Amino acid sequence: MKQKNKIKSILIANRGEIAIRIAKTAKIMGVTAVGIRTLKEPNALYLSAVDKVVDFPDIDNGGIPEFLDIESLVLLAKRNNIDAIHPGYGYLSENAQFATRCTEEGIIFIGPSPRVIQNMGDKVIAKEIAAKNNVPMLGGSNGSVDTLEDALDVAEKIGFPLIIKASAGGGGRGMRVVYKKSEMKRMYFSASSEAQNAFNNPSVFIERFLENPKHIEFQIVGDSHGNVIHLGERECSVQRKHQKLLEEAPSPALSEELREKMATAAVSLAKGAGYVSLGTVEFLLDKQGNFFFMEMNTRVQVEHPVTEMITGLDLIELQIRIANGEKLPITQSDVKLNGWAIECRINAEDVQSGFSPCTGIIKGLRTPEGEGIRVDKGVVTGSEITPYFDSMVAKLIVHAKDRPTVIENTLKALNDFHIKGIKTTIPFCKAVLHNEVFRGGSFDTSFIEKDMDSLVHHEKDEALFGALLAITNHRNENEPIKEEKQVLDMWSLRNRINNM
Amino acid sequence: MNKQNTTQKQLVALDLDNSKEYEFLIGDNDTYTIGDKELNAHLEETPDGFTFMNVNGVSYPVEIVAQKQNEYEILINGISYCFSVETPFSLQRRKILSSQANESSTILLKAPMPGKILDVLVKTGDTVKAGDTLVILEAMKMQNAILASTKAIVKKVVVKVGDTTSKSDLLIELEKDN
Repeated sequence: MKQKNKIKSILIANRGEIAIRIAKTAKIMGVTAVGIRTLKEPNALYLSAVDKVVDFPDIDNGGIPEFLDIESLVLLAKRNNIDAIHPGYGYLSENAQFATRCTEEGIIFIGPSPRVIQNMGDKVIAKEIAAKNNVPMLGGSNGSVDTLEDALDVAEKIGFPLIIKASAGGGGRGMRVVYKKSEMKRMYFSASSEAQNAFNNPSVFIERFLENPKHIEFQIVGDSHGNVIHLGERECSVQRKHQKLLEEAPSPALSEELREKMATAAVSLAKGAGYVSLGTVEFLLDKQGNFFFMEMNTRVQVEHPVTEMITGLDLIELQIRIANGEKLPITQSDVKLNGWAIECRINAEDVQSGFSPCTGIIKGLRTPEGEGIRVDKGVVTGSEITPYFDSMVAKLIVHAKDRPTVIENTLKALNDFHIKGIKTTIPFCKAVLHNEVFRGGSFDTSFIEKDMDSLVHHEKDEALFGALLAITNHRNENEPIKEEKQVLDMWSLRNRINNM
Repeated sequence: MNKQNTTQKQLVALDLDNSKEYEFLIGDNDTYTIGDKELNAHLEETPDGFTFMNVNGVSYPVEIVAQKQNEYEILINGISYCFSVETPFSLQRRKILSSQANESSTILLKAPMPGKILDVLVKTGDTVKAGDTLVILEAMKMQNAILASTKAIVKKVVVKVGDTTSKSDLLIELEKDN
């Protein structure tokens, strides 16, 4: 083992719950966690979780969001003599240029090498690597499709439905599903021009389109000594517009045999790519148990805690140790999957109004506690939910001995999870967990659309009690003697004073 | 069958989303009767800022989100409801008024959250049907489609692409098309 403890300090180039999550492991490891204060949320909770706070430089960077500003972040790390940068998820976590700039300045980027990030970020190259390593894939064009004639040739070969995707794509942009030949021309050109607008790259490729698959991903981890192992799968089929809302590990859809096959494919892909760090291989799974490589995420996932719960491992610790050049402390046979875990994403969204984001101040926060319950949160009472950031405020993770038990325990925990001041996805998560199709385990990515009668769970007599609330309140208002109501909300007042 | 009760009176909570009526007889000491159910309800405030409504010994988290005269937007278990509290007399009057005002009504579409207008897909004079996308509003890095809730004619488009809006800003005026 070479040079131990190269990493003595980590700059966390992220915010919210993941910044807190990274700081927690850094502290346990005796590594100094440094957080970045931005003007957008100078009192954020994550700043109280780190060992040291540095201010984002007050410069005109042309309006780039702080955690996307490569040069300022690198400068911040250099100026404060910080050894490594952890990018978390989102933001610059899968940006090869950021990883390159860190390396050039002698800062350790906690993640894979720039070359691997680049290769996996390019869907065409990623598929070439997958093909070389015998990872099953949906048929399609091998490489980009540059003319309509080529596109029609591919369509002839693989049949319909097919999907046209942007090579540089993500998030559903530059993506078109085509069901018949007559639609090909229009769809090809619109996908290409959307790709050009969104990613400044008109290149597209074509794949067979799988209708309503399951989304299953495998956690893999590789060190710089040639060891790659997997930590089992996560079931992520409960999603809306490609946004995951509730995840679990393991997946109720996998037999031991299928798990072994998919894991082997994930590991051989990672080995073939020369992958060093924590990563996730995403697969689509059809009803017949055929699976197909979709993409590889080269960062820690939002839903990593479900894997931590069933393996007992700290994934952030592994990520840091690997970046430090250490050997994996475990082999594949040490990895034992124990019990079942569910993660509910608690987002500031109004499910009853089409999941529209909610902004406001959190006036009360009560989180569940107990054995097998973990809450990763980025907010406290008084935190303001602003439109600047994504809507996730917390994650509830519950672990139990089996799936039926963990479903019941998660429902109980959700009943003890109260947030006042904003609407959240809690009533949605309850509806998922009560749903018979979900409980049966055979749900796929069309679950929310097809299998949910109601997007929120109503408790028995809820509307009646709501009516009663309106009436009791009305009576209190109209009572002759009443206490003077507090006109000013204390939390708004605090924020106003802070902003003065 | 009524107990001797001098303060007993009747109030109706009208669910504004589905016009369902909840008719309560109000007794002494926070007791309410609806149908054959007797409910004892009171509100509890907790030191950590929550309000719970205790009904026959069971507590539910509640919040009054907004109040406009006798109309209440409330949350119970994190779920929204809108009720109008009426006396039997005012409910009667409300029904008469609404049956008269049924024709020609203007719908004001407001921004559900602060954000930026990414796209406006309709112009004045357009006919739209329920579910049609009118405006795309970006907030919290997500694109939100503002949809028409009914068949209507676009009367006025207030916003344009690139505008930033605050919560409840008027976006579009629609004229209900019967």
